[in-house]
Amino acid sequence: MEDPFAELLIRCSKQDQIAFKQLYQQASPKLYSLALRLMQKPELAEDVLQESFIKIWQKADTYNVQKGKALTWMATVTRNKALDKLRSLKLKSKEMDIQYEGLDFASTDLEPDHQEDLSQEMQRLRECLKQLQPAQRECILLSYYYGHTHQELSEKLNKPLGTVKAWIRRGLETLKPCLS
Amino acid sequence: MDPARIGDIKTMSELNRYQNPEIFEKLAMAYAAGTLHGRARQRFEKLKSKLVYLEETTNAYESQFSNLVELLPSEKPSDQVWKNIESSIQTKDIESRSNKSSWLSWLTPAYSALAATAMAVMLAILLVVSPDTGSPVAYAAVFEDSQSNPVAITRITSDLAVSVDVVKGITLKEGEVLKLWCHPKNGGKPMEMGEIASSGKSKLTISSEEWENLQSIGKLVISSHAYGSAQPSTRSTLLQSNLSRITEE
Repeated sequence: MEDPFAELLIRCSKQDQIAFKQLYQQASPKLYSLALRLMQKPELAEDVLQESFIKIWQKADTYNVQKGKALTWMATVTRNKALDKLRSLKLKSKEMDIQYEGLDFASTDLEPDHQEDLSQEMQRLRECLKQLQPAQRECILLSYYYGHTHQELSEKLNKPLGTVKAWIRRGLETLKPCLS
Repeated sequence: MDPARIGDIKTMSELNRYQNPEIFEKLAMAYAAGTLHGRARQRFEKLKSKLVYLEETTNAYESQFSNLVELLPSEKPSDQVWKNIESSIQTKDIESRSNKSSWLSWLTPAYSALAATAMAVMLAILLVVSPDTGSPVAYAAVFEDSQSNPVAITRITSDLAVSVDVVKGITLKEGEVLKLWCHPKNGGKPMEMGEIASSGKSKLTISSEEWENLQSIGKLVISSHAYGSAQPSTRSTLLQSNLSRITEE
């Protein structure tokens, strides 16, 4: 099986706790990193990570290898948990001390070694993202990684709200044929 | 179509508009990319939970955008996170198995996770739990709360050791202690086995004579007492469980 996470996840669906621990050890650094950017506070990000992995354990049998990679499935679980928590806590990023920001890690000019580590799916997504204008790409990536609203992006980028909305709308329109 | 308009869906004709791929794909993309926020996001979640094609389209886009996680630098969470996860899934597993109400359910791998020591001993040989026959090699009792969730597991083995694992902490008033008692099948005076901790594991020992007498014991009781008092009149029964005999087949 090409996806090692998928193999572990399938074993988790059979209540294999050893596989679950391996899955946690291998996948948690990326998922925690995602939760940190959305939550901005390590203690909240750890709560999200914990709740996400409990859900991953409980719902492992619903994962379908035909529908995508296991890491992306787990990332979706984690991201949705984080957004739910932000919503329930009614947290606004402007009320928090920003510890994690920027998109250096998602630069379009990745080191060749780093590029080789990426999956085919991610390399394809990067090619699609490269088709966007820099401002469109920045808005979409800031929304994904940090959960920024249109208003927050407007303030952060010091651009009119309408401009930000237009960048996002056109960016998604450009991405659609590439992703479909 | 402004995604925020999704909040205005009221009529069937409007709902039908979201069967238009041009519209629902844009919404699904915006949702997956994280650019759909606030009430619009909540309403979209409700809508996609009702419309299978919308759910499927959203899942497909979520799967694509979630590849972005690969670009993130790895960050190590504290070790406590895994401990909490491990503890939680084991507790939930025990709860789900206890709900099956099988009188053998405590002899499952889930229980072994919390009672590893005893299980290692008992599963090394083929055992059966029998209320009536055979020579016992051990006794066991699982104390449950009013919702049938396990609170404590007691094992008494032929090496005269009594082990009590309180897996769900018991709250005591200040100055109170917990004691374990055994009650004869045919009534009669309960016998105190010793004091136990309100959480975690406690170890007690019994005499050979007490081991032999266990055959006449029907149930175990955990009760709270004012510190220093062993008078039955001052005790308050918190938990009780039938005592099961474990025999070698």
